[in-house]
Amino acid sequence: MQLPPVTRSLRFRLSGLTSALVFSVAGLALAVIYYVTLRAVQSLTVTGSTLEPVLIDGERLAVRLTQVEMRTIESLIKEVVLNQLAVWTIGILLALFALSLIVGWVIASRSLRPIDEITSVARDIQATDLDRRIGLDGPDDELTRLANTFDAMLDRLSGSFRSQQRFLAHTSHDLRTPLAVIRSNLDVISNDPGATLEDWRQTGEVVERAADRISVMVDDLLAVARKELAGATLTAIDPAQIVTELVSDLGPTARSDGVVIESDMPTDPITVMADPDMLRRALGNLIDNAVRESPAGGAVSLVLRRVGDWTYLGVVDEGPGIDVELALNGDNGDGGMGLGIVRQIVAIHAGRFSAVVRPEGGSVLSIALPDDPDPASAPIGGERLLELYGSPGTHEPGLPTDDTR
Amino acid sequence: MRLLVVEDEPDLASAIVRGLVRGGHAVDSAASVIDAELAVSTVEYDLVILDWNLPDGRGVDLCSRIRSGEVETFGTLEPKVLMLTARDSIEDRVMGLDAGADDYLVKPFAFAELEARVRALLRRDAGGSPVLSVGDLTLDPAAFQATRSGRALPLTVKEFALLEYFMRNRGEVLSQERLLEHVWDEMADPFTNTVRVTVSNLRKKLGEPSAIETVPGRGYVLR
Repeated sequence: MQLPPVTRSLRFRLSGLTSALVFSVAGLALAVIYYVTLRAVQSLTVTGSTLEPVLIDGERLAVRLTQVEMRTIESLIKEVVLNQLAVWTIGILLALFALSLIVGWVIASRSLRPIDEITSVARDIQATDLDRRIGLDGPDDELTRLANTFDAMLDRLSGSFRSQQRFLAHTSHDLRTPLAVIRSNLDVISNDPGATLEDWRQTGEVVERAADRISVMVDDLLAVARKELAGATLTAIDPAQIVTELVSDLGPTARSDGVVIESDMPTDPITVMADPDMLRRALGNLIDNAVRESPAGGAVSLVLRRVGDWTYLGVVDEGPGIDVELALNGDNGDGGMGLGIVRQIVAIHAGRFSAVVRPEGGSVLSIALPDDPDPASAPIGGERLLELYGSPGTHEPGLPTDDTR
Repeated sequence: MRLLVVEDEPDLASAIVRGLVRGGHAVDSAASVIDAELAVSTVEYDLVILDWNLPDGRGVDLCSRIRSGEVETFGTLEPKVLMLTARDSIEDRVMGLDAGADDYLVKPFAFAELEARVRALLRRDAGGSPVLSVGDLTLDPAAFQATRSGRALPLTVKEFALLEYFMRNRGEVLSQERLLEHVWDEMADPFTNTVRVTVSNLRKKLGEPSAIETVPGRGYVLR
């Protein structure tokens, strides 16, 4: 027989056990008192009136009736019974006190044992082995839930720890390339006795370009680091406004590269919990990336959609199609740390970053932001994303344009 | 020695090519996996310097495809491979070397170290001594110094590279085409007499008795 779930909780078991114990001990005490009182009453011989033969004047036999007063009997019974009752009640109370101490001790230590376990594991877990979990066995009670919550917190911690490590690895990789450019060019030119002034001038230009790249990366890096230290301030914002701003800010530069930036947004207002500066930077990096990928004459579309509890911000390009694995986990070549920063910002928002190559060419890089920072639902997958964003410039009928809840 | 630099960062590739050419090597460059594949399948390179991240794939994959024979290299000898990358983790180094790379250098690097590693890789087949010697000729690639009977030879960069190639392949008859292939880069015009002229200049500088013989119709040999 399956017991209802409430019976598995620690609260239920503790209260059940305590109540059973109190009930049976109290019952036992009452039974003992009753029995003792009964015995006392039974053993009491009331010799109320007596008849005894007496001789009157030495020869006449008479019967003398001695009458005890009812009041005397009554007080006798009261005295015996009450005395017994008082002695036994005090004795049993003392015994109960000792017994309850012992029983309480046993119950408390039994129920608290898992907490000790949680404490000792938690104490052992250092930043270096965030992969350890408590993994408490046992019924689905308050303590198991506590341990599971703790484990879930560790999951999140180790996830963000790992993403930081990855970010650091990529950052150092991306910084090394322009440093290598500077170092090799200087090494080669300064060891060339025949180098002309023109050679030096060219080297100067190369070094300047590399230094510019480094300073852009350092700016990006510091911006993210500062935000992370200060903590992202998530406020309710209108992503459509950011998209519009970005299109007008980045449009002219892209146009000079022969790429058009378009936006495609639903008419209904959308709000999302995000840090506006960070979201702008992330989307800006995605647009930079898309413009770089695009052939001359291509279009980059910024698409905003809502599905379920998620808001999707996608950047669609007509380039040759990005290396998905590289975009999601790897380094992003000569584009500075663009996508690394995007991944980091998305992680801070508890969102998801995805990259999909469209069968007809081009790719969709998108950010999904949840309404609830602790999302219960998962965002939609790559196939549905493609459907959601369609092809740039074409608005096929039947595409979800808004909340499809 | 004929080298191929596979690097998609133009500012870096040009510096490496320039520095190696000054060291007397014949150097070509490729900026993508596909260009590199074409290059190794048409020219016999002694060494390929390979970047990890290229716009159309990973250098490490190209390296393992060369080693497995999936990418056919021109000529009889497979080129040495030196991975030159900004990836510095132990896992990446292991992966690169396991893919068949002969050496691994992390960016940013000192150019002198790159040159030293290139020299070390190139002499690996030649017995391992950093200084070559044949008869009374000695040649020290690191110091850019060649002597005959203790007398220093005033060689140009190209003559030095030519002598080095002769010394590494002593006793072998080397055709003009082969010399052009290994000592000159892809910019050299195969229809000029540049090989003949350089060989004759080198001969003059080496002095008597002549160390380099002409084998009519086949080429030259250093004895």
